[in-house]
Amino acid sequence: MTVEHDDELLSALGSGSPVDSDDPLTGLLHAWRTEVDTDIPPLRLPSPSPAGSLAGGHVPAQSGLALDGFGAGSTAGDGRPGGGNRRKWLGGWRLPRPVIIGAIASAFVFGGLTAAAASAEPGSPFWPITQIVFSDKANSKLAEQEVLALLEQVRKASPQERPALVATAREKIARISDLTVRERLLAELEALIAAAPAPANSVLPVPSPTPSQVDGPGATPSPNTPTPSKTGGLLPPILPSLLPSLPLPLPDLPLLD
Amino acid sequence: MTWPETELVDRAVRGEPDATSALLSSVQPGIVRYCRARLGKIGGGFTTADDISQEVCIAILKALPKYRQQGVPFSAFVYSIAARKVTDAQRAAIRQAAPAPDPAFERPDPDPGPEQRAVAADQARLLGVLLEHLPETQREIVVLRVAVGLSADEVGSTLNMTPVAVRVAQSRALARLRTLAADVFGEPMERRAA
Repeated sequence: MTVEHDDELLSALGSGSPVDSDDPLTGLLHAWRTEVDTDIPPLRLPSPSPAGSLAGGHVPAQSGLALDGFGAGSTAGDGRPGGGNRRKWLGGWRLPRPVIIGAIASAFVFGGLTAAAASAEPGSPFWPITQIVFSDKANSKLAEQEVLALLEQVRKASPQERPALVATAREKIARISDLTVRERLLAELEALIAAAPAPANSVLPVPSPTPSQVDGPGATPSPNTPTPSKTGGLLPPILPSLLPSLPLPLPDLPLLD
Repeated sequence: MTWPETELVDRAVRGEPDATSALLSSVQPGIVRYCRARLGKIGGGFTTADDISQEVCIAILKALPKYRQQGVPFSAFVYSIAARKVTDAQRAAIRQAAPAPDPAFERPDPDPGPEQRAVAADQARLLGVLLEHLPETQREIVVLRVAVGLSADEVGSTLNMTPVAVRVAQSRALARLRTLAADVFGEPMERRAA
């Protein structure tokens, strides 16, 4: 009878349900079972396998997150007892090694990607990213290209057409957020106006920059055009907090310290 | 514990991703409990045991295509892998660890919480100590029956014993544990568990 009773007791304990008993050992077994059943971590499997890879018993060594440090090279006990303490860094956060490596890698990849996107030109593979992530910058780039085309038209235009084109060019230049580019294009326009005999429209006021249009000192000027004006460096960086989040390293931005 | 349907196992063995995922999800909590019960808290937590349980799941995933060749119930397949991984971990720990005592018994619980929880943790810890005094087979039976929740028949398949032999052995294990617990309860619990 004891064997049967013990079997029933163990089955009840094994089901995890509370067992009503005065037996101290039952209490210990129930507490033990409850403890090992508390906060079961989620199952982490290798990332979605290509069809058949599971059937072939092949777990890709680089399956990333899901392996969570259990790649082919990881044996059952490679210092595991110390692992608990090893993972206590970062204020007790448990960050599996592949996650950390992945995060660092993505920082490089996406950092590079954002850097590339930040300086992308229309037509570049990164241009769609620029449009989404750096919409201000994208608008500015588009305006710059339009202005360049307009300046070309101004150069070839007849005196009658010229005033309207110059006015349009000024409007477009005002929409450019990159201060250096704006100054340069404006200087080119002024030079065109000065070179031309046209009497009209050379007195249009230069639009003043507004804070939302001002770009930071780290903005990258277009490398394929000359920069006759260097006034950009004389202007103070206005409201750096309004800057688009530039991924480029800006070691000399004083307010970011 | 309700073991996965044979059909699910068959589909997982054939490599169907959904079935594999469902199958492993159904057995993983038992594997976690098994590893925790076998390895206990190391450094005050189950981090190491949970890491090993993850490793067991990966090993099962790898071995799944060959499961049918072994001709054993699925529970036996799973827990033979788990037992091997835990033993490997223990051996590696013995090889690598300094001969320091288990810190779990040296330090107070870092997260004591309410009193009841602390008492329960002490009880669980004490049971872990008592289990160490059992013969290996009896200890494994208690782990599989209580922590994992396998039936006596399933434990028999896993340990290559008849169900009757399992039931006799588990009764002996309980009798031994009761004797040990009676010794312990002769003294204040905190002093013994701390």
